[in-house]
Amino acid sequence: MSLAVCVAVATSLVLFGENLGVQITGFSTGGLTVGFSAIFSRFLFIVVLLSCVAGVLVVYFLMSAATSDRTRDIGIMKAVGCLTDAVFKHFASELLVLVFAGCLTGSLVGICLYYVSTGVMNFMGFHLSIGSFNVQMVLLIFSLFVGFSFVLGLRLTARAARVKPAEALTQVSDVAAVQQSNFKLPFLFGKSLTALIVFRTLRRRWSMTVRSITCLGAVMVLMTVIVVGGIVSEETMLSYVQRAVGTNVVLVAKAEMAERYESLLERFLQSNQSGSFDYLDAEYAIPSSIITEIQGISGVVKVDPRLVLEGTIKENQYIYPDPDNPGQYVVVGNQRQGNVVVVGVHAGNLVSDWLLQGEKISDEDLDSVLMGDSLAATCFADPFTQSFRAFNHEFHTVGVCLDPLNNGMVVYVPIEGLSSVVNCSGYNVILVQVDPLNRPRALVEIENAVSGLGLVVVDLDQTLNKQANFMNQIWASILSLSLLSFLSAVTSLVGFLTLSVSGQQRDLGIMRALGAKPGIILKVVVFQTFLLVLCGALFGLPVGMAVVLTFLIPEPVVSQNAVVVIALLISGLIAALCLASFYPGRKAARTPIVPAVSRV
Amino acid sequence: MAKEKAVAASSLRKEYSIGGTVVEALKGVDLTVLTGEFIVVRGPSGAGKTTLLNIIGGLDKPSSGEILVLGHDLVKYDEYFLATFRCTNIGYIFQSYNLISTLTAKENLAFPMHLAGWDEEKIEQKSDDLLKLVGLTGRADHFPSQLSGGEQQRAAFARALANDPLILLADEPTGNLDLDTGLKVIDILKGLKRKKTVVVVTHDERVQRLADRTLVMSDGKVVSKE
Repeated sequence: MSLAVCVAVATSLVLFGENLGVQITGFSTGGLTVGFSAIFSRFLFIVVLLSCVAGVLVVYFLMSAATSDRTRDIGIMKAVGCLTDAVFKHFASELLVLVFAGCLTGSLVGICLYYVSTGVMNFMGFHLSIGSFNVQMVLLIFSLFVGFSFVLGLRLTARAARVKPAEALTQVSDVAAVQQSNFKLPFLFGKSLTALIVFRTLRRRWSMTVRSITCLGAVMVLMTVIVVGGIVSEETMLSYVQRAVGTNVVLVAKAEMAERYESLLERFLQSNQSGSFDYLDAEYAIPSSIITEIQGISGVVKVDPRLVLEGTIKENQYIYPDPDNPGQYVVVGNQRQGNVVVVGVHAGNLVSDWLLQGEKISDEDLDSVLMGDSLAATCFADPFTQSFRAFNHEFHTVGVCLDPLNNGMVVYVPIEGLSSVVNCSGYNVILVQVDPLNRPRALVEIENAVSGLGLVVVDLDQTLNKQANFMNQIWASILSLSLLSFLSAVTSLVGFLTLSVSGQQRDLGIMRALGAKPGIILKVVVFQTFLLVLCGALFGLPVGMAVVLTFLIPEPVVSQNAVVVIALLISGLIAALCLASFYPGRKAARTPIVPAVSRV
Repeated sequence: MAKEKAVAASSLRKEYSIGGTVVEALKGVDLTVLTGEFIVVRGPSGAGKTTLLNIIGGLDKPSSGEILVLGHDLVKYDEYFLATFRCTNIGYIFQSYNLISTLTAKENLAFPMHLAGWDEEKIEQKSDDLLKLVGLTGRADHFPSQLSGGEQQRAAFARALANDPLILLADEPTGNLDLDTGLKVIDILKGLKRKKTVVVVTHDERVQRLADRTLVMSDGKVVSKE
């Protein structure tokens, strides 16, 4: 049953994640730069990988607990004359049937769970496809779990089959009485009998305790990655978008040019094909005098005039002598070419601060280029060593940025360099950053200043909000994965507790026979769970954080709000895990005393 | 002055369902035990002796019939009341000792006293006295798995006396013991005679000789009263 639940959760998680992944790919054909897509893909990959690791650990733990439960049976078989080989074969056959039945049931339930969860998500307003599922993926998970479970089970069975009959019958190895004798209750708990029983029980079943903490720790790592990783990734990506577009920024340009610029920004959200556009048409030129005038307006923080163009760039191959094969050369690049947006800027006036790698462009180096992440990833093998040609001129890349403009297919060049190669000076777009406190008045003054020149003022914060909503929608879909991983955590915990309580049933029964009320039994089980969850969390949370910060988001942006949300969510999940122990606790408190104390 | 009834059972029936088969453990048992009486119950295996003891001790409920223990109708009460009732009124010595495996001998003795809410000092004192009574002073900090069968039985005996119960129920208290340990247990039982109401399930003739009355059970019924 427990194996089936683990397989079901892993199957549904992978199918559901894959469905979300497909959906993200669907988004990314219209939008999402390569850099942003990479974060989503990395997140999904880590979540699925951790889910499988946690699933296998849960299965191993449950099987070892089940084998320990059968040690007495093995002892009896050996005591009446069964050879070790015969005992091993008996239990191996039993294991094979159980593993196949469990995994098959789990796969079927997992597929149903996948359809149910997808349906629920769609009911909640998302648009996930309810088509056929990936059969190969289901078979892969089935094989993975059957293989691991059977191999681990055989290992455990082989070890159990070698136990001496006397030891197996008395279960001396399980009691570990010697370990208990020196144990003292931590000072914090005073002389609490409940605490004493709980600590002693955990120590008595030491190997099981360690395994369950490992198992819970793995599940906690998974939960931390999903909760912390999800929230931190979302915040970091939003921060990149904000820094790229700029906050409190308005666009000043001719109406058609402004529309075109917005359309380039919206390519991040959806694929939009637009016709050819003559950026250098004198109609769109902005007189330099207006820049000075805008700079003089009170409340204007920064003025970033730009010359925006579209053009074709061609990757230059980089050839260097092969250090391993003297006389041979290594060729980097494939002479690819593509249409990109080229933006001429004054490096010192940029409203964007969105550098991902390398360094900023400089007005002194007129051929230096800052490249959008999608362009760097799709048109270059190594953008920093390769140069490229555009407008019959050679440029070299000094930095890569995460930029939603033209969905990352963009280069930023010092405007003087660009003007000279395209033989056109001046600007066709001005980005103006205003002080949020003086925003309304500054906007009115800017509008007044530019209206006589036929220029329009467009608030880019609205575009920014659209992009933020878009990112939120995707992350909300992804974070729904946490529901399934949480199910996996609760399943493993309840599985452990059911087995653990079943192993303690006799002691709990004796306690009740002596007059312990059901509340005391419940307290023992819940406190035991709390300690295990706490240990699992102490191990899982830091490891999960390390995974997030090392593999997922090396340079995170975390707001205070996010820290509070993360803390609340993690506390809530831990509390929910502890609450899950009420089920086996209540069950133990209600089991009839006589069969409980008669249990051997 | 007439003695009060410590236990009054009438038409007690108990049925178990084992794998779909209904087994009748008690088939209409009538029984009265007076306060301070020492009763021995004997009979062949499967006669229903332990089941009767479990019902008197409030560990199990009859399928039908009436059972009054110290004036309480145990059928009517819920688990919370029965827990308190067992803790304060009943001392139960199980056939298989049933010591809590994670507690030492002394902690096992102290457990019912903790449940009854005694203060630490009193618990400590009483535990030491009981350990001395059963000759386990030197084994106080040993766990059940580190004690011999006889030592475990004596620890269980001491625990049954911990809360100074009005009724002592013992299921084969000398059944698994060697001669010497058995004699020690019998000595303790002798000491309890007239002080407590004692119901002992046993085949041990030495214990039977202590009894005021002996009930013989067979096939779920009391077949003779001696």
